Amino acid sequence: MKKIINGIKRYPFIIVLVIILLFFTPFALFSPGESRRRAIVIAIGLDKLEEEYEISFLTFIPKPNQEFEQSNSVVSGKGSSVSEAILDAQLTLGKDIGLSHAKTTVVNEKMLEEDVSSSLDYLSRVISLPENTVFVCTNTSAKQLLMATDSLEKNLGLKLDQLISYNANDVYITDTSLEAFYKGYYSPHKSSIIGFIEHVKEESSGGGQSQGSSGSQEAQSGGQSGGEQAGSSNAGSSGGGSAVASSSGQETSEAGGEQSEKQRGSLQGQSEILNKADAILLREGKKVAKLDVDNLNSINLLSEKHSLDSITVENVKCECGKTVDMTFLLKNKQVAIQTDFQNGVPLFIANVSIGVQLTEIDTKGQEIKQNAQSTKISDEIASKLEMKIRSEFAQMLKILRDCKADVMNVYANFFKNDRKKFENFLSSLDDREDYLNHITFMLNMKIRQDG
Amino acid sequence: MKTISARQTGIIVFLTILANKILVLPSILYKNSKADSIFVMLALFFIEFLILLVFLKLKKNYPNQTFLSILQKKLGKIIAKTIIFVFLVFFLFKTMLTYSVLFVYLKDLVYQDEFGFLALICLIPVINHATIIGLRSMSRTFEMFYYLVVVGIVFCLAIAFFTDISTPILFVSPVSSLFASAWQGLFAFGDYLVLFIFIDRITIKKGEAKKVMLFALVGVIFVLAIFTIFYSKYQLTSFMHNNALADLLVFSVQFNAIGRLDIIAMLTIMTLGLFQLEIFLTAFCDCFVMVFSKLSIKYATAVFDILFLVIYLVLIAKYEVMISLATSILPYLAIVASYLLPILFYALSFKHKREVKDEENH
Amino acid sequence: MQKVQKQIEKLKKSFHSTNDFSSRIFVSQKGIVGFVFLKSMIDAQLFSQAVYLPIQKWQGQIDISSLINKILKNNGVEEVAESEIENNILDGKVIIFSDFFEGYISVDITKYPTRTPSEPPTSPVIQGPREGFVEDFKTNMTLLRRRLHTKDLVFSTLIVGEMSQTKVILSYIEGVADKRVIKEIETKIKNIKIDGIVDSYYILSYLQKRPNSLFKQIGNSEKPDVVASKMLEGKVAIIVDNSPIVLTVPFILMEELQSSNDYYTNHHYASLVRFIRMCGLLIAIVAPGFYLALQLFHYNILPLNFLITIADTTQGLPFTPFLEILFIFLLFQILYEVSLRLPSYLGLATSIVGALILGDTGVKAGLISPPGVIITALSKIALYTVPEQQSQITVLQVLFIILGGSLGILGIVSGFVYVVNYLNSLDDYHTPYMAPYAPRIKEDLQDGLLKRAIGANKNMPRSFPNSKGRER
Repeated sequence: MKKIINGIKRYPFIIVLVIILLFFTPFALFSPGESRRRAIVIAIGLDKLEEEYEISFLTFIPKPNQEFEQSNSVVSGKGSSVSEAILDAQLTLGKDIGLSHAKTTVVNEKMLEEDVSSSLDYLSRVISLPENTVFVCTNTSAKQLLMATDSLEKNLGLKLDQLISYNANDVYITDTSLEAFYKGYYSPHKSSIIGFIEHVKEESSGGGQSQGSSGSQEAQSGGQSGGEQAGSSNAGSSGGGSAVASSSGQETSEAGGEQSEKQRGSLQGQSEILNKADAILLREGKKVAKLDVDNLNSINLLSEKHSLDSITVENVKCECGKTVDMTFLLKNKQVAIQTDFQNGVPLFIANVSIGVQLTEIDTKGQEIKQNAQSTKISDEIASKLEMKIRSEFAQMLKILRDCKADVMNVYANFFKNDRKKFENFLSSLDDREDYLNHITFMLNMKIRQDG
Repeated sequence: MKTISARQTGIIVFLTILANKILVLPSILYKNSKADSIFVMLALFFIEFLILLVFLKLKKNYPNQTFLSILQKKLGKIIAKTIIFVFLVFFLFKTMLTYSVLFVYLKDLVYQDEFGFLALICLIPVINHATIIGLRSMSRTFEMFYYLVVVGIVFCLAIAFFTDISTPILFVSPVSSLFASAWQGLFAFGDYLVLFIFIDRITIKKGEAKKVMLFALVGVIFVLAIFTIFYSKYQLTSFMHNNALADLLVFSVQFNAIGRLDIIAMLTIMTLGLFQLEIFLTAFCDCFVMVFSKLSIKYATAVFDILFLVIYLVLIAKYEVMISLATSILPYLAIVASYLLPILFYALSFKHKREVKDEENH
Repeated sequence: MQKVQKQIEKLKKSFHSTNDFSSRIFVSQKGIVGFVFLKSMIDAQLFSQAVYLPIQKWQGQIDISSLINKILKNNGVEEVAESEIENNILDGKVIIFSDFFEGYISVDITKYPTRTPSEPPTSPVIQGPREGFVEDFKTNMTLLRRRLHTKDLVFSTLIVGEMSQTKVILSYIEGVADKRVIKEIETKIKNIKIDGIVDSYYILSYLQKRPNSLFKQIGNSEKPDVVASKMLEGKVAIIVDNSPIVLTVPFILMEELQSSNDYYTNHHYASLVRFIRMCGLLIAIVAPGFYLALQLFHYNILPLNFLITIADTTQGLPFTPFLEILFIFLLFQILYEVSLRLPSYLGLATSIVGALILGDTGVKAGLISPPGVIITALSKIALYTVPEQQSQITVLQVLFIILGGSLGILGIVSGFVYVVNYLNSLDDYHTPYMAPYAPRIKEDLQDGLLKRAIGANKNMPRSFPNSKGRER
């Protein structure tokens, strides 16, 4: 004993090693590993039903194979709160949920009728969920969108988050992540933009037939309450003209009794994901408007990063004197924002110089021998182009003013340049949040021919 | 006497400057003073810099004496030991705060689970061992890892800087909230005090004081850069992010697509945390040995372990309690240890100078 | 007659009538001359031609002086005291004595099987000298002397081992090596109390300040060019008779990352190779533990695609991740031990069994996963980027597997910091173990991980004690 104590005194590290070997190693030796213990969630869907929440997870199901194919499955749970719904989903899965790899969070449009931040509260507190998870909205249910997502990946090799990231980088020119949502939510104007992905269901003629379900997983937990496990399946080709991908989803879970049967019916049939690059304008977490691509292009008129905008000017005379429709690509934008006060009225001046490139001429059946690239932009074309851009900008401004949603950084620009005057101006208003309606916008445009 | 070089001293200063400031502090200060917390930090760093100058002056005047002997000579045994005891308590809580900040980071972002016992077994033996083998071996390790730590921090900052950043909105907080922030952040400062404890083991040759100041400056620049980039990146949601340096990497869609780069932040923060704990524990143990001169450093580490277990696990237990202590009660201790006492030391260095002059004249 | 006979009998008894103890008697006109020797240690032909016959044919006066100066014109002839007779016999010398002259003469005609210097298997070079040390200390001394053509090269002999009486030769360059180090080594060697020294490794553990340490604190080499270059830096070489490994003191860890190849090739390439060795060392130590930590604790750090690969391949395995890695590790270690001890012609068979049957079939049978095999194999192969540290790294591998598997990344980081702290606390012979990086010695960084051209190293290294600042 004395020898042992002396040994420990000389090498106290031995105690540490013994503690590790006694208390930690045995558990670790027989631990199955995190990837087997947890369900790895790739996307989260949050729906508000009548009186409860339904949370759906697009999870990755490991399969012992050498092909390393990703096979996914949608699992959902219900509860009066989001955390209860998650617990319900965990019960169905028999595994803990791992949110670290969740790249997308989808909510349905219905949730945006009320302040969505209260529903997202749980997700914002979960530290394992990365803040840069893409946050989007869909028209039907988030669960169905997730099911359709799987086929999107199988058919086009495209992930939902990649699709939204493309929109965010080239169309919205703003991040559409949870973090970006909160940034807008906590800003003085309380407004933010989130992406919108349309989900279309078509009536199926096949009734209850399933068309293969490579990613589905039969849930054996018949008696478990509420939990559902839906298999997404590969439907082969995409549906209509603008469809990105389609799938025929089938509910494979037998859990949930009658309600499950009802949902099974509603889920059968072709469903498609439509990416029109629309977005939802939120104020105080509530939907105030739906913005289409033109609206977004107008908002991004003041962004130099934005380059994916084309405008068609109708009935203009080309060099040969004939009336045609011309389409231009707006590129190489140079934007300078100024703010000023004239007689106490704030002036928001945007000096925009746009390089335009003629990309297409619709000759309307006339015979015109002209090279599109050599066509010069006449003053008439330029003024028509300017008019069109201005009118679209005005339309968008009206929407923003009506919604009191400042997603063009007007507040930030005034705050940066004339903080005191702007503060005075705001305090002079009856409604401080309605400042957009009291600001005069001046758009100085210069159109030049590029390329 | 196993002494450390000016470069190693500088690296210790650099590491302690980063302690407790790069994870939770930016979000705590943001709640009060928004992005203007950068100015609060700047002001506190300025005062800290003065403390560094006091240390350098004291070192110049008492080149080879221990801290205790300097104090004993001028103030008598009892007062000297009382002052050392204040430092002992200061470093005990400093170690605890550093531990709990690191612990919460690890729990939330690295382990995502409860892992209290695991953290204890990983951290405590290593810092005990480092303290026992001595300051010189420890500072050699810091010297080896210095560039890795610097590269890790620069990497996090660079990634954050080059992905979607906007200027932070400054001058929005009233002066009162700046003071409130300064009070909350006070206990995270007082880093140069370790140098007073190690004074006899530090060798600063003529002209090398600049080297120490340069390292201190690099540390300050890093902390301010982290604050600035963090506030620029997160702006209004800064209060939601409790792990500043790590979170800088997370919010960048483009880079996340490549893979998880947070591993760089993880390794940097873990290494930094361990080193800071080693420094503070060594300072605590040295104070302990100075107060209880008959006991060895091994006993000091054992006493720390017991105190740590009792105070931290039984009394404090929760991270929130530790943070609220650090932002409400412990600043009083910080005021005494890191502001009042250095003024006293400054006076001592003057007194010494006058005495030397008198002796020369005599 | 009686004196010679008595002496022979006495020596015979002293050597326990061992089989190879031999004696000859030559009766001359003046009296009897006796010869004693160990026949296993001498050259029999040389004995008859250069010792026995000259004495037999000598017509003049026979005494000590004539024997040394006139009769035996051999180099190794000297007069020895009676007390040294036995040692001289054991050294393989012939002792001559007579009843008509006082004193004893020893003649060195030693002959025993020795190896010719050849390229050591542990440190082959692509370019550069291929000679290696051998077991014979004299040859080893010659190999060093040929490289260091200076009168300042000192060889000082010490005898160690109660029974083996092994010669231990300290070699250094006077004025370059640090006197404190030489004295410390001498004292330590003199204080060794041991029955026998069979190899230089026996000495090594006595020279280390922490003999129980996992990490070696004494350098060693089989190549005379390496040892000579170390001696030029101020190190002391310790040659042990019957061992081809020459020890060098003091030692720094950086030496393990340096290879003699680096000095005989382009220095840019040498820098790259050293960096790769460094990475290899890290991968060898940490990779399996890190992989386990990721699987058991930190799946969240893994990129999704990598996670999917791991999850797919480990799904359905009978082993848990920890057991799987331990199993593969054990498999590799067994194969390694077997391949060391098997005759070379069976080596190929072992490789086939190991790689194909155990590895490939193991994966196909679903017993082990491909990532597990890759990570462990990578770690095992990376180990040989620093072959000298093979045994230490293997122990560290096991330690880090336990730490990573039981405690996760924090365990690995803490373990790593602990090991580095420990290494930094080693400063045998006034030399910081991790120099020139801890403490940072600017002048020596040019031969650190980054290597500059040989001409750039103008001064003596400062990482270890020597005549500092001396220009080369």
